[in-house]
Amino acid sequence: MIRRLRWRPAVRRSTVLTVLLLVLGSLAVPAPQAARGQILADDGTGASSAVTVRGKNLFPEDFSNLEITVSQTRDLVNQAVVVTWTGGTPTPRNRPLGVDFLQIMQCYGDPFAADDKDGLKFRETCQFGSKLDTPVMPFEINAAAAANANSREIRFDAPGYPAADEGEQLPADARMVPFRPVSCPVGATACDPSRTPDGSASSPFPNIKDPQTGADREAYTEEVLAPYYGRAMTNEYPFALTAEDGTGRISFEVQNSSLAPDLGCGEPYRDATGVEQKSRPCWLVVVPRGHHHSYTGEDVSLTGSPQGSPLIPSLWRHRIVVPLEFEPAAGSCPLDRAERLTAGTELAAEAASSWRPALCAESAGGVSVSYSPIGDFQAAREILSPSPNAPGLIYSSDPVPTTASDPPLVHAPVMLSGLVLAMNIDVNLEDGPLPPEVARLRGTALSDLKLTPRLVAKLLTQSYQRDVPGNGGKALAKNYRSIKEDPEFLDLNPVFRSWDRRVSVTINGLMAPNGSSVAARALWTWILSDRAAANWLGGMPDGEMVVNPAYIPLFKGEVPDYFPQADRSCFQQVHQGETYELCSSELRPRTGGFGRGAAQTLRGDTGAYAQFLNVNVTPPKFEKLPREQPGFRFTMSVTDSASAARYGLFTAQLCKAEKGAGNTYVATDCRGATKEAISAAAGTAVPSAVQGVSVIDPARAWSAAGAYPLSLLTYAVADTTDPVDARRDYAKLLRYAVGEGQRPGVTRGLLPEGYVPLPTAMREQTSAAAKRLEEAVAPTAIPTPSDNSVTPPPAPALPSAVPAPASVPSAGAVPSPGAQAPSPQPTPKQASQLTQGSPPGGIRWVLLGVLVVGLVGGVAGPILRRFGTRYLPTNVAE
Amino acid sequence: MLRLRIRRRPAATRGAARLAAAVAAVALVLTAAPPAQAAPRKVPISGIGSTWSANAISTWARNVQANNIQVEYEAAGSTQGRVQFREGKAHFGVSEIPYGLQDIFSGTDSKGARQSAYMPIVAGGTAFMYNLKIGGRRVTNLRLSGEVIAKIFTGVIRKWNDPAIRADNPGLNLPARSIVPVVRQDGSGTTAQFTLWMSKQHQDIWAAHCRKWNKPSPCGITSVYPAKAGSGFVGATGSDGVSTYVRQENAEGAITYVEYSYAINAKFPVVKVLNEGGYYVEPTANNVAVALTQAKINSNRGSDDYLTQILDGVYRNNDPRSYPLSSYSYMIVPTKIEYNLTADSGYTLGEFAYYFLCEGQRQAEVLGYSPLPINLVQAGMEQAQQIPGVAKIDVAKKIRTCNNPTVSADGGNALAKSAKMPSACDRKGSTQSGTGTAGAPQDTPILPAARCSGGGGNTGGTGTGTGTGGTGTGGTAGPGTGAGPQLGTPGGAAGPTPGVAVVDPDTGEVAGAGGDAGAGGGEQVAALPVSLDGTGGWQLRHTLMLLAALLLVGLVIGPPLVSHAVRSRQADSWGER
Repeated sequence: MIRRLRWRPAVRRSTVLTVLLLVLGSLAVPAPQAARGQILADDGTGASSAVTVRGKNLFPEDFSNLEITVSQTRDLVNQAVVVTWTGGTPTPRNRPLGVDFLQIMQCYGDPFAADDKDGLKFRETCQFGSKLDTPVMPFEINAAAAANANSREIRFDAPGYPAADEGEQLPADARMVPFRPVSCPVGATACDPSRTPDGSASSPFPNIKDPQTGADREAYTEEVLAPYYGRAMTNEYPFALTAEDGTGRISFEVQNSSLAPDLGCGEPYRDATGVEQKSRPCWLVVVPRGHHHSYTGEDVSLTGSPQGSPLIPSLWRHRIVVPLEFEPAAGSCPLDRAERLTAGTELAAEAASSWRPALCAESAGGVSVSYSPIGDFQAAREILSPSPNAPGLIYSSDPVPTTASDPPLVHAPVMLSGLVLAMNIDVNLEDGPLPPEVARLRGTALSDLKLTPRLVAKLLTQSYQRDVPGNGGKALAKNYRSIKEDPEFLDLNPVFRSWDRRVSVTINGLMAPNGSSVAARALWTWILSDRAAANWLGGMPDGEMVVNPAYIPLFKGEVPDYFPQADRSCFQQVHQGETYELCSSELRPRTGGFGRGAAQTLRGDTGAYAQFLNVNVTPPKFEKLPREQPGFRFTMSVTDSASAARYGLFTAQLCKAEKGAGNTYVATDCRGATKEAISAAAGTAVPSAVQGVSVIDPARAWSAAGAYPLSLLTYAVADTTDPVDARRDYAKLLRYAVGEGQRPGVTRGLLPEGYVPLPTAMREQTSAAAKRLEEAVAPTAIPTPSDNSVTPPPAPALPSAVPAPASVPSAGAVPSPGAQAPSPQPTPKQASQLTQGSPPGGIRWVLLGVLVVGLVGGVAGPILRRFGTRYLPTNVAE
Repeated sequence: MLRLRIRRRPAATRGAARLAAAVAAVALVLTAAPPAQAAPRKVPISGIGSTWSANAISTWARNVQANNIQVEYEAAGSTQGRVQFREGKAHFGVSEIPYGLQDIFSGTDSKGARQSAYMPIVAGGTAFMYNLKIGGRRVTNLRLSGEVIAKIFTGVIRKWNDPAIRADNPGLNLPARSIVPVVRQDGSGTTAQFTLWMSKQHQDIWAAHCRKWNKPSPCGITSVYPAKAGSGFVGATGSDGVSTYVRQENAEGAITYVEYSYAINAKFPVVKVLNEGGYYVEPTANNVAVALTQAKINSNRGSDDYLTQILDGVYRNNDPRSYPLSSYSYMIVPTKIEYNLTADSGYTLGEFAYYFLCEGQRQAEVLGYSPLPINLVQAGMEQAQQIPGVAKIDVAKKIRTCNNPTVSADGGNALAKSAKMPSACDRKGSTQSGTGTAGAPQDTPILPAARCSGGGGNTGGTGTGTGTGGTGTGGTAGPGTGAGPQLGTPGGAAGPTPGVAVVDPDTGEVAGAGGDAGAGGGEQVAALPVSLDGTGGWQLRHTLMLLAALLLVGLVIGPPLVSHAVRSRQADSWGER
């Protein structure tokens, strides 16, 4: 399964064109670095399907040093694979993008067909040409960018280029390499027409109504492609940049037929010999781009770019092809099968999604289980709710305490994962001489970032000026603009000392989810367990910065279970007498959840608005920041380890730091969200208020050796008073979750990356809980509570021992008809309290002071005067 | 704005028959004619629109991944949803309001050339989430009448201790704090729903607000809330934006309109809104279901707005359980192969619709919505038949197997029937219930005078409660649509927490009425609106005050005395000379 590779994989395969000969399995991949802050997955078999391929030396480019490794090439589903390479020419960062980068796409079709030596039919089967944005580069050298490099168009827009490539076989007036959807496979002559038009006179682009104006016009190429794929769904990667050291890394999203139906990867098909095959293979195709004129061979790195689409024969000949084998995509739950409802923390989302189809299979019991992401606290209410539409099993990282009147619950540990700070940072260094170990990183994806509790606290409290609308005014005047300037951060991460100096090249806030969660509370608990961070949050300056004063009161009481956005100031701009405001929630928007935050991090899309009023539109408005371009991204989010792994994001290491010699900060103890560190944290779990249920205390884990402090145990909590058939189904879910569901792997049904398999003892606990749930006595009589203060009610709201209905919770069986909603008496609470929230401050003493001064002055004045005259020495006066 | 992109692994192994069918289909494709006519395929589809219903749609999208259906939904707001769908940039749009309404501020957005139909997808209540504390303790039981709400959001009522708000809340000692109305600044269906309600129910108040922008009266619906920066209003983007603002510790005094589920997620309370039945109620799934029984639906099949809602009856529903600001969201589905729609995407959209109209509605309640009533489900399925490429079904037959929680054996709305009567204490009058709401279920202390006394619980019982027998709570079965109080249910003695004298609203009996407990409860006066120093004793600040005073005195009388002393000494020395 996926193993993250080092930049230089130990395994090399010199493969020129003969990719099919590759030995797909048993490649020895170096042991992953544990301390790099990555989530690792290991299927325990040691098998890997990573493949390394090498470029070619063909006129006018020599790519024979280029070695590309794809982290996984078998058993693929819709997932990310990591593509890394070495031996590339660094992409220059001081000119418009056009030379020395890679273009990566997914294709079906036959790259080795005997009648298609140049691959001109094969190229028609590639998902490419959606005209994704070109990264904007600094414009220090005035060289022409590569025109049409992100498209299928075959014209050149550059001097010195022919009207058409001489190897081109399309009609002379064709304008685009057509796309051939898989439902009309290469060779099936009967369905030639379904190939998209190429724009020639014999195959013109259709006319469409312009969506904005409604007028008729010829469709653009991307509109011709729109029925098959488009910007929103394509996985093409037109601009993969190479770093200073010749390496590069991207997360490439491979798509099976459910996401890319017109490629049909993983679908059953009939091969060339007419034999039925279970799963259509596909290909990952890399077209390296060099810096020589495609036809003259002239080096154009300082003047221009090799022009055109990668599908043009002169560029297409450099293609490097890696086979991709997909798991059969067929099979699904019947959509109309009645579902068992589950809901709960988003930490469970990835596993729940993976398990759902597997549980649905008859072999696992044929249970259709739906899952709704809701907060832990709401989930706890739902499991105690008597509503027939409430879920019968919830996921929560907190145990659910019950009172005697509540139905008895079972708690079963099902997932072990963690909260992480996921990042997508392209190393952007300033120009000029740099130490080689730093210069080497230019343009790479930063994989190693160290943060301390105090640094995380600063990021989450709008304490850097850039995180406050209007930059925070006087209170934050001495604070740094962004973390990029913070000495503690720079000491721990020295590469940032050489970072691009431009103000814009920094993080636009650490993204964090909206909503309350146990995970958020764990993060604050961890921060507050660090004395330096806690003191700083309490308002004590640390010599560098002060906390944004709006946050100080938030940490005085209970630990917050959400990510506050307390600064109320707004940036105001007046235009033509109207005031326009931009406040915190626009400058630093919260994400809609862990999964969305991770996706936004990958896309470089914070959703933030720029602190700049666009007056060129009516009415004037603040505009959203555009997505950050590949090569220039600096995004981070608070998310869970499974979401980070799903989007192939690196995660920050959490460190303890001290001021060492030379008054610099030195990291003394760093913990990444690795399998080992999360497992170590699980070992520190302590019993909770609910008997038999233990939880990980972030403070305790932080003080234990090697434990990742933000590790979280997620429990499935089920109601033992549900109807017997429901309990049987939920028990199946629990058994699956600690059986096959704990086997790591990306295949459906397994434990997705980012989760750590539960320790055996916990699995046994869950198996026992499943048994208890299944065998719980039908709830005619609630067990007598040990609490003797109150006699429990005979549970009017609970379903009585009705014979189990044949189907899932019947909607008709509604308890408690026509009763009244409870309106209990107020709970006693201390009567006299300080009114909070509006302390009048020192100003209240002003009046008193003035009065006193007045009084004293009024009385003392005349007296003093009299004294003055009486005792004035007469001789002096004279 | 959030953008959700759900992509996941494909689904479980399906039965052999299914596999065989697929293989056959592929074989057919390979051997025979144009593939478009072959077995429909599931392809990724994309939608855009409402943030009001985004929580429901993204959950459904997540759950259908197991069925190889990939739905990408971008919660960009209803206005964006209508625009992007019209321009062919999405397979479906989601909006709270149909095309073509006369928007007083942003003009009318026309339906455009794209052919489409409206399909109801999920119901819910537009809630008023607020952040208010009394004596440092969060208020969870605030009640407001519609008129007061309209006045708050038009800047007429500006203080929480306004007499009108006090009249709604006899049990609370409201503080003299400014009200901060938080409104959506992007084009929003929630805003449209809210302003539609104001324009229908409180036209005079709303029109007065519109006149500040020189809009003619009567004033109608708008998607863009009119509020000027600096006028005490705060604008935020998206449902996440307004709810994030209100929930902040230091946003005390803020109130916003947002879908109920956002308040639950934030662990915040919502306003109990006064209905025509004279009760203050919360937008629970049941109360919304009750309200929507009076929704009129445009049933003119020839109309462009077929199936769009006419909510006047909902606003004025006089059932005591009805939540007035109830509504439902529509999906705008394409009815012609044009723009980006293919037969395959139509087929997939149809499969998605069949899922969320039936099975998916069961997830509505846990997410803070209300399931669609069965008549709307049926109408929605009929609309789905118009989507090109959809797998046509026998709607009447499908409805019979539809696992929708509102379905009941006798054809009524099960959810509406099972809706509990509101607490008698929450009847308009001099009493108030302390029960919390939405994400903040904890109670709020009530002033003694406004507490429901032992017998008081019974006074409000004009129940329309209906018993659906079967699960038996013992004896309340049978429809009680008369005036008879449905309260004295024998048998169900709910357990109060010890130490508090409680009238059990389920039984009408005083439960746990221990003398001590009762007295104890009586002492716990609800809240104190003023800043009282509860700590007492001599503190640092008093020392400081004293010191400051002494210093001041010293400063005032010190210099003259000192100067005098100095001069007299000088005089002495001169004298000696």
